[in-house]
Amino acid sequence: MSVTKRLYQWLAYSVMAVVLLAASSAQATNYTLWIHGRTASTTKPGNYADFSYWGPSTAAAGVNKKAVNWDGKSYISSQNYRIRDALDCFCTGNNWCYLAVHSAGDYQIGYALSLYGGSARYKKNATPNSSGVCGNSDGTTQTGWNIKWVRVASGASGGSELSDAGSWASSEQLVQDLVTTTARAKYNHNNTAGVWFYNYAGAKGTLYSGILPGQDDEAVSYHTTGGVAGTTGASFGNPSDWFSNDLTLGTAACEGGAAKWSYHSVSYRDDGEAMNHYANGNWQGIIGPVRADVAANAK
Amino acid sequence: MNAVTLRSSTVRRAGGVVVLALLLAGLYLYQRPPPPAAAPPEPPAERPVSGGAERLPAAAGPLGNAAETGAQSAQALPLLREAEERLANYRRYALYPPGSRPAQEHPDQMTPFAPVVRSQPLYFKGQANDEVRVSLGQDRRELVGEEVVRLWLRCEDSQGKALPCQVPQATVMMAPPSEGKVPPSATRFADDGQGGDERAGDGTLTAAVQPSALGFGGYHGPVRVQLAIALGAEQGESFFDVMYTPEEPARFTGKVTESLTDGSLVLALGIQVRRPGRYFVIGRVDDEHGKQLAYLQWDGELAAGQKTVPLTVFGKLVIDGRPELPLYLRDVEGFLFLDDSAPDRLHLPRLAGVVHKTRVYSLADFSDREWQSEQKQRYLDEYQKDVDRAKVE
Repeated sequence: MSVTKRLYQWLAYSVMAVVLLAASSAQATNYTLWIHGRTASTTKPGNYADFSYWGPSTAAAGVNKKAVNWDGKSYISSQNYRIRDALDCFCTGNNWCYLAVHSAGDYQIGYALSLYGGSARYKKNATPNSSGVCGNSDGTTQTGWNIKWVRVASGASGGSELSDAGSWASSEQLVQDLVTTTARAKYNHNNTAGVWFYNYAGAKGTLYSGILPGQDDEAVSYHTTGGVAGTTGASFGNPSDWFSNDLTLGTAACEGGAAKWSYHSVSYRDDGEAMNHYANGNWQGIIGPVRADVAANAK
Repeated sequence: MNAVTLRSSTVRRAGGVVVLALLLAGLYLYQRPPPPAAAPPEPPAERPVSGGAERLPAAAGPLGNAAETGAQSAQALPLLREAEERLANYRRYALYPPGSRPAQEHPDQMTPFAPVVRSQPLYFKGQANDEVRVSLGQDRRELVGEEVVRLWLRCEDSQGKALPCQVPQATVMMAPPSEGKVPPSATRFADDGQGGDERAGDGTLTAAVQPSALGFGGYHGPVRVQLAIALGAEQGESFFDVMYTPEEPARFTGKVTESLTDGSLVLALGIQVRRPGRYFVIGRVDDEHGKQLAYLQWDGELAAGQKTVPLTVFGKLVIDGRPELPLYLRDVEGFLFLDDSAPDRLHLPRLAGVVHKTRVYSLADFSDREWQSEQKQRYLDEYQKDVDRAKVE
């Protein structure tokens, strides 16, 4: 082989390597997806910049934050495509996601991972259209999504006794999905594709303490916000509560032996009874500590 | 060609390559999606105001071994430790494939056909009477075709003593807000030792409900049994929900064939498919002594006709679980999944109890290899990158 040809080949290989390296590193982007809970259709589904459910969009809430909006009132199964569209957009190919969810947003991501977490997903280009759907990047697929972790503010995937008791409007589809026995049978909560859920449980509730067992945040009880497994809810409290078993931190079984869903860990228990359920348009309530931890860790 | 022209040609070609490279790089940068829009200046992260909160670092460790370490700010957690734990946890998860999991990972899924019993205060119009507890039980959550659900109710005081509740009205109806025109039907809860009631006069009121006999034969969705409860002058209300599939989309034949494939035990379930689509099939495996070993799940597309569904007992799961053989497959359930619909599934009639007893194998027949897949490697690579990044930050 001539010197010229070798030099030509060496240069060509070098150029290819540089271009490939640039392509792979430049396209690897981390995103932070925020999936909201029950709401009266105030958000704009498909608009990933609409943080109106949470609070000012200027707040620090993780790298490349995106608001995953859905109608907030229909059956989980009929709105779950909105969540899957977002996961496909930002959490495939070389891109990875951190997730933060609130209330029924926990139900949505749990449903998606349990029933679609092993399905083939087209790799997307992270450029959504007005409906929140992204184009394919290279036409290839991958199994499941790229998710680093899920932080859960007052998760409602275990349902709420406010649905059981008729305290919420029974004409709303989501209220029926939130019946405790229904929510807990909707999907296998242990199937998370190995992704960890970090649960934050609030305890400032007083208004519905006769209906919601144990500690609650005025919408859901510790049995769901703490990710306690089982076909029904039960009463769990803080260590200072005499009349209910303790919700333990971490993955350990609760006092009394009730296990948590696998790949769920209680990161925050509201011993000071300071956090209620509601964002109040300003990242407040139990969403506050989640936002702070997401801002610090989703990079 | 002389030396001068050769060098000149080489230089020209090399220059051409460089120009081509710059063009390619420019084209790439022009065509790739724009980076996320620069975020406006953001306020510093607010810290939660919860002096009494207890919190753990987010990476709380593998199943069952996270200690309660007391109050600690997640922000104080070194990113390196969190990244290392995430990697270690995923390695542990990915020993076995998603469809063949340790039983202890699914504690609430291992006895799927046990009655569902819940306890609540006596509610009336959204208000709770804490002095009266109502225990509500149902022996099924799903019904297919002609199947019957048994429902029961019992009132107790704070000491657990039975109270003489009555159910003056019980109505079987479509759960709101279902659309349809099945008229409500009345049913009766009684404590007379008949119709599924275990013992007369023990304070437990029972009803047996068969939706197909009440006009629900063409309805797919949740059936609600709405109750009015009376305890002397006290009133209350409650309900049971049961998911009803009027016509089975497929039926398990009950026939299972087994084979050792690549060091794993494959249990092929016979299934007669009437309606094609994406199915989920789930089964449980115990050993000779009844020790729970595995939770098995398969999901995939099935065409109409006589088919088999492979439930796999992964070899390493057997090796690590050290069961006493033979193994027993039991409590098999399945459904046809309906994408983006509500209800989102049509159930199959379940196979309760032992469905299949395997042959006796030696542990040496099973493979100790870990699960391997592109998905697993993708996660391990990314989590390793996180560890490497955290080390230099």
